Amino acid sequence: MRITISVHGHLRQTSAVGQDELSVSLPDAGGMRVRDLLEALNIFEEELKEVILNGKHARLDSTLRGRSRLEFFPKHR
Amino acid sequence: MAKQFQSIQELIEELQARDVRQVTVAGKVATTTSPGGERIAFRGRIIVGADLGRGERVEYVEQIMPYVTQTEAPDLPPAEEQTSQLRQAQQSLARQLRSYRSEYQDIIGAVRSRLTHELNEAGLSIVEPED
Repeated sequence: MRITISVHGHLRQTSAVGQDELSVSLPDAGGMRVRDLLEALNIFEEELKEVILNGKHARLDSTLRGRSRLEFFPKHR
Repeated sequence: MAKQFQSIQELIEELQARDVRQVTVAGKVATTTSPGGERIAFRGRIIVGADLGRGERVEYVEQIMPYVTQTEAPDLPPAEEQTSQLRQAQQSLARQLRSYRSEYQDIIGAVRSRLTHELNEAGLSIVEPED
């Protein structure tokens, strides 16, 4: 599974992603959701305004499959 | 499709000739891991670009030297091994991010600083890529 992650606003300073777009390869974990990434990314659910998965609005319970492109937008920018 | 330049200097000359004063600088990093997750390889690039209007865009891409690091893969208890795919994926992500921040981020940061310096010296200002 390959996930490309980018963050916006203050998350560029506070998250583990930083200002660069990161593309990471992960072992296939059936049913992995967006929410399951947050702890490793150092992103708090409460600070998120919007999540975009493969160009579309997504929920934290959205499942990640194959190649996914994920963007996190914070509430305060 | 952006027109690509072979060097930052060529891009700067083109921008100066067209009286463009602003550029964006974006970094992209890709990691790959060995099957066991012990070996992580990083490959990065910095993209300097500018929109010239009417859909025309110019770019220079600086490829950054690939970097490989070894990490200690966690040995999960046998009982957990088959049921913890999610946990393994989370740990793999955490390992890649930790290695990125501790080892590769400085490498990509140094390249970004050099390019930023050259752009500023040429009178170009850097704006954040649009969200």
